[in-house]
Amino acid sequence: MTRQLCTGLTLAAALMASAAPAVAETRGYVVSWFTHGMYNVEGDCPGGVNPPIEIQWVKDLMDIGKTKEEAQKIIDQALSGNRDAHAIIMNRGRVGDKWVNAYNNPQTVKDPEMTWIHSKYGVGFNLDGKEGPNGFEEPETGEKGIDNQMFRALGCINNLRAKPPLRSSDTEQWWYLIQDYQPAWLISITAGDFKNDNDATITFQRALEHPSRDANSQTRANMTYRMDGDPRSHTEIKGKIKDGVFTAASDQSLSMVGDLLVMHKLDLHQANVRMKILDDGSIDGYIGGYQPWVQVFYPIAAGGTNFEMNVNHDIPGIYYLLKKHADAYPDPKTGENTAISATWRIEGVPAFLVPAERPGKQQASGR
Amino acid sequence: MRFAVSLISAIAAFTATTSVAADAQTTGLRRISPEQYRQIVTDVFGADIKIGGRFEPDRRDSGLLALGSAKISVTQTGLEQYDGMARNVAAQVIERRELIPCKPAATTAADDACATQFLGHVGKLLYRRPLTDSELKAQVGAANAGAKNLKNFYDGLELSLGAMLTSPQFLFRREVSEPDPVRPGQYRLDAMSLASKLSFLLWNSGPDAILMAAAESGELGTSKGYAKQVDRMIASPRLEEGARAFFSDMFAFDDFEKLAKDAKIYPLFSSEVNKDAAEETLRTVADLLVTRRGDYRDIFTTKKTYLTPILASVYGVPLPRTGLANGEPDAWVPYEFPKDDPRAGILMQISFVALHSHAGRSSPTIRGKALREIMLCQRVPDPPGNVNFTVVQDTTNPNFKTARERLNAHATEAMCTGCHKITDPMGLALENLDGGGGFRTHENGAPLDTSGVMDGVKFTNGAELGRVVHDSAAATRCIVNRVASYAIGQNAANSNATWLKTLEQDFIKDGHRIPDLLRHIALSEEFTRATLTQTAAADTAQGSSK
Repeated sequence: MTRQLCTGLTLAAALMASAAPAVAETRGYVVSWFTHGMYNVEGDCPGGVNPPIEIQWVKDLMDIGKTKEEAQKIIDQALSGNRDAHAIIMNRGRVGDKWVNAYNNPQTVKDPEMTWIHSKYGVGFNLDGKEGPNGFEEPETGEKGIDNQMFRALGCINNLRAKPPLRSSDTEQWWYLIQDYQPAWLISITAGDFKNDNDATITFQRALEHPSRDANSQTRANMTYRMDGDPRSHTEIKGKIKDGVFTAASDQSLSMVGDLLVMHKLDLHQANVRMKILDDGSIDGYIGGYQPWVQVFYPIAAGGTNFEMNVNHDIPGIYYLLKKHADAYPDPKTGENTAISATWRIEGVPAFLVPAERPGKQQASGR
Repeated sequence: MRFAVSLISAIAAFTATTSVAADAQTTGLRRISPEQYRQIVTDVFGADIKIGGRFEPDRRDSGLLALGSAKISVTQTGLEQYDGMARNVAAQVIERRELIPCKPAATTAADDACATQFLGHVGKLLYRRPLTDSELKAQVGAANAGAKNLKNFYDGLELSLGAMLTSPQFLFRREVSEPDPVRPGQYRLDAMSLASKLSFLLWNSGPDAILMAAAESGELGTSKGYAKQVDRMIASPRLEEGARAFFSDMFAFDDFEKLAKDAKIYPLFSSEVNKDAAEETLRTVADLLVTRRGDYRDIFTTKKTYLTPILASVYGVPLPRTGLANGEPDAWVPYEFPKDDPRAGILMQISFVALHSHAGRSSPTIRGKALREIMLCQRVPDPPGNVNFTVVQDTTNPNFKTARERLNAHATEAMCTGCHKITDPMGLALENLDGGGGFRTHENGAPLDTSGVMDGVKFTNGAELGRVVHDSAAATRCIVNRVASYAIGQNAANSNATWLKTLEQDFIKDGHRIPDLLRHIALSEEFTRATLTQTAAADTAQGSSK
């Protein structure tokens, strides 16, 4: 068991227990919030943020030969739910003399040249150890050379913009959608001293159960989750805790299988972690690393026209933004970068984690 | 509305029906509870019949709804609700043709024989006695008339069944007395009334076929025959339903329907927790007292309970959803708190600490009062109307961080001190549980002191308080009084002191076992004889119909 305040103890028994010598203890958490690591401030998009989709679509449709009036008519019909108009917008890619799905084939659409972040500040980690021209300054730690090109690429899309602790409207919708049907993501931290410890470990893995909600429809604390054991979603990273903040800068890859809508696959190479262990028992922080940029793009592309309409994303535009700002792991043949430095914000609430293989000591009973 | 008025008139005429012998008289009348309504429908038609709508509120009297049920009638609004439910149930029953034991000669016309067979059978189960000839004739006549008008046999049957389900014969438990042949000059319950009274006590439902046959054959009129039925019913797994109904009534779990918590303060107290909290306690007591035939007093000290994963999250204990697919409802799982866990007994369960708290804070006073009144049958006076509660209510005052400190400040007012002395020490022992049932050791950063004294016996925490209640003579006396009163439908303490004393002695001698107590009660003359109870239902109905 891993709530693992003290193995075998309930929370109440642990609270009542007197102080014990420092032995390794593992605390379990269920991820209660997961989103792009944004840090938006006023004026970080010179010329303003990217236009709403109904304006962007006019440009897109004029790029494929529609007049402004024709484009506006199609958009009006699409916004009213007309499926034929949706089809025209969706199939705005061009291969030879054929119209093709622009979300599956974004390279067949002209780059709409959406704008991106020009700002001093960005959350995350200095992954390459350099303070290059693309490096941000970390607002919490003051560290310079922060590599978070995902933020740079997506930070001027209005519905993705957020400054912690506020949440972007877009990802808030996603999160509420997936909560009830994505297996929960689990985190555990093992340490002898949760305030200061040079030998601590953080583990990321998946549960067999979906997250449960509380009375505020937030992720319920103190639930019990069975650990999946699937190696595709299991990463242990060594780190240290200083003043109640776990940090790790590793050469490992942090991998998780997720849900199509938000993150169908997460592979963070050179994974870094900064996680505050809060007095109320929850955790709050960031994970970062170099991630295949298509992993960021695919879930967005999968949303299709409705996604573009509801969350104001120009999907091919995002493809070009991510491709443009990718900054690592160049393809040996083409020389194009295949990965983008990315930071993800994570929050978690306390949970009990138990092995899935362990036969249930307490047997379920029907009535 | 004419329909409702006519039914109220029917209730008024209820006691004057000709269904009983001329020298018999109605000595008791009680409205069936919502759970009894559901149970009877389930017993007669099956568990898949859905019952929608709201029941009329019950009335609590001397600590029990069962006693209040003799003092309530059915309002016109209530009748409309019953009518809606009855029509709905009847429609579902008639849709399930397998519930009808015969086929009409033609589905488009009335069929006297088939209607008589069906309505006679279900009528006996719904009214808890055979229908008189005139009653059956009237019901069949109504079914036939409906079939003729609607040109459908089943539609006619549905109308007649719906009428039966709104009849006072179904909605009220009527106790009819007859001259007692053993004690000339005295009255006893007639066999059908006794069968019904016994069945509602032990199974919280109407008599089954065996009990009814025993009543019809005269077996129930003999001591040996009656005892045989009592023993059969106590040995049945259905005794659990009876025990659950009693404890749900005694613990005032109907109050969960109006319980609300501040979600910002108690985010884990969701609607599922509200729904499951009472069920946890009912499973705990049913398992301990019925399944394991345990000592009643152990409900205050037991570490065994039943939990769902959601409830476990409130308690802060691990409980995986083993064996269930995502999306499936949580299963109930037996759970035992570890020995070193500070919680034990039903007083430390969510159903007690959350039900007897405010929406956003605990209340040692309310909890202490509830303990005194519910578990010890002691009366705690209501506070006077002009009390200033400001100090107690302000949980943000840095000078009074804990409830103990706030109550101490409040109790400096002389008019409050007396009552708080008898409630607060026990309530403060439960302060490790917040108003939502979550465990804590501190309030506003200050450590909680849960020590106290109850009736001269010291304790240091909630679990020890449970032990004190366990050992309390008042708790034993109270449960005997409550079960006895529940059984006879009136406060036994008012007129049956000797009987109660005997029951208490037997209860102690038998090891404080509830099934044994029920057996003593069921076999007692106080239970089987006719006792004139209030027939306010009929009185009220008569008044309403004027």
